[in-house]
Amino acid sequence: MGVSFSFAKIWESLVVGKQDRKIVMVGLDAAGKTTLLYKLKLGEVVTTIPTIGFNVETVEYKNIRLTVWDIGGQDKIRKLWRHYYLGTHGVMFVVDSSDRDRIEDAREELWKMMKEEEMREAVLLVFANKQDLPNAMAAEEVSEKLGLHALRNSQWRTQSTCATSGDGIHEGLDWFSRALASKR
Amino acid sequence: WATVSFGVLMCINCSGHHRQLGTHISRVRSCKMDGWTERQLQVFGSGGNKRLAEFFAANGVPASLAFQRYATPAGEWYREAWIKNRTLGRPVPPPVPGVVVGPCVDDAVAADKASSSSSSPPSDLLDFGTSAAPAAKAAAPAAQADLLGFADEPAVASKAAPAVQEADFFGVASPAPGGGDLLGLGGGAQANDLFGLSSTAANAGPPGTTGLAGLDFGVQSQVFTPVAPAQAPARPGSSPQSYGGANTLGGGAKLVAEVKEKADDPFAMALKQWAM
Repeated sequence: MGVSFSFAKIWESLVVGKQDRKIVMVGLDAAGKTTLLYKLKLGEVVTTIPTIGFNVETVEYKNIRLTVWDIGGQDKIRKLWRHYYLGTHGVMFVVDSSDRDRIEDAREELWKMMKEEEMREAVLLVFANKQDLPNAMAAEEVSEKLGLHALRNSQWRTQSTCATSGDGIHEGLDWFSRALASKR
Repeated sequence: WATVSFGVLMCINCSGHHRQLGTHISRVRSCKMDGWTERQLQVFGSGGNKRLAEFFAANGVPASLAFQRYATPAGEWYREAWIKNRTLGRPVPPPVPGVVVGPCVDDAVAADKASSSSSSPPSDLLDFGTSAAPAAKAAAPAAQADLLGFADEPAVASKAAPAVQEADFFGVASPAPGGGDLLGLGGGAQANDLFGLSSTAANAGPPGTTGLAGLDFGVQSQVFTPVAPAQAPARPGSSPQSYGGANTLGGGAKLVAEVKEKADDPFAMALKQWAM
């Protein structure tokens, strides 16, 4: 079993050329992280409950294999995010675009994370999620409110999405996988 | 779990459905894993599961609508007019046509009118200049956006409190201003049903270790207990891959203790203040 497994891996890396990348997916509670994760993984909308701890799934996209760690976002468990940072190639930061009251909290958490030494080189993809809800901020407004233009230490992009319909997810992943593939 | 938009307590599964409604309808918070501002706690003074159930019944909102009941015009009045104004200490406007107040009787309005010479008219819904809450007055335009989340409210002061006291909160809450129906649960027996797990565990074990585990972390079966982070402070470089072997109940309890010690304890703080 182990032999065939590792053989498959070697075959894949030589012939298929899949690259493994570790991704952490964070954001405030109820931003839609788990819904996005399972939309990516299954292509389906699942009914989620608040994540206590984390969910982890492997998602293949083009020639890249993403191991996505979806980490719970309640106030008091955000301090645990940093324990997942080691070895991270990319971040998916999910924002509830309709929640204008807490975009400032999101900015604080994002900056706290991106200042960590382990995250210096990480590629940042911001999902401006819940675009279907009334009064949702557009991607550009989310970028501005998160202060992304002042973020000097990494490649970033904001993608507007609606996790439940799937809109925008593939555009985001296209950019993300290209940015990740160019990294070592 | 709770929704501050309606002042209602619920289980984790229902909280998932509430989150699906969007924060413009229901803003969900964890009782234990989220911080609570004073004002967010105050929603329970006017809310409560019992009152909302009675309100829906009075308005003929069928239970078959399930979570969509919160998105009905009646639900909107309850959230926007009743809960919000009561929490901000403002008069509650009369309901829109088609909505009856049911159990939402604003005793404060009558008292205000009797005592003050110039009370603001009930239609003064969006005028924050006349708001009774000083914080809302100072923040004028921002306060409007703040209403749902109460985001600019300063967090309740951070201070660890013994677990026993915290677990007793719902029992002791009755003498607090606002009356015994603070949580709308009707009485101590029901409150014990909801929080009894926490209470007994905390009394049986050492303070601050076990009470929480049973209540919040025990209810979810599909997700791992985040064990490694609890150990990680000792070895900062620890990677999440080390989860498999270390996923023990003891580790979970340690995490809980750690979170608890460091965390703000708004319930206990509020209790202290109300008890004074």
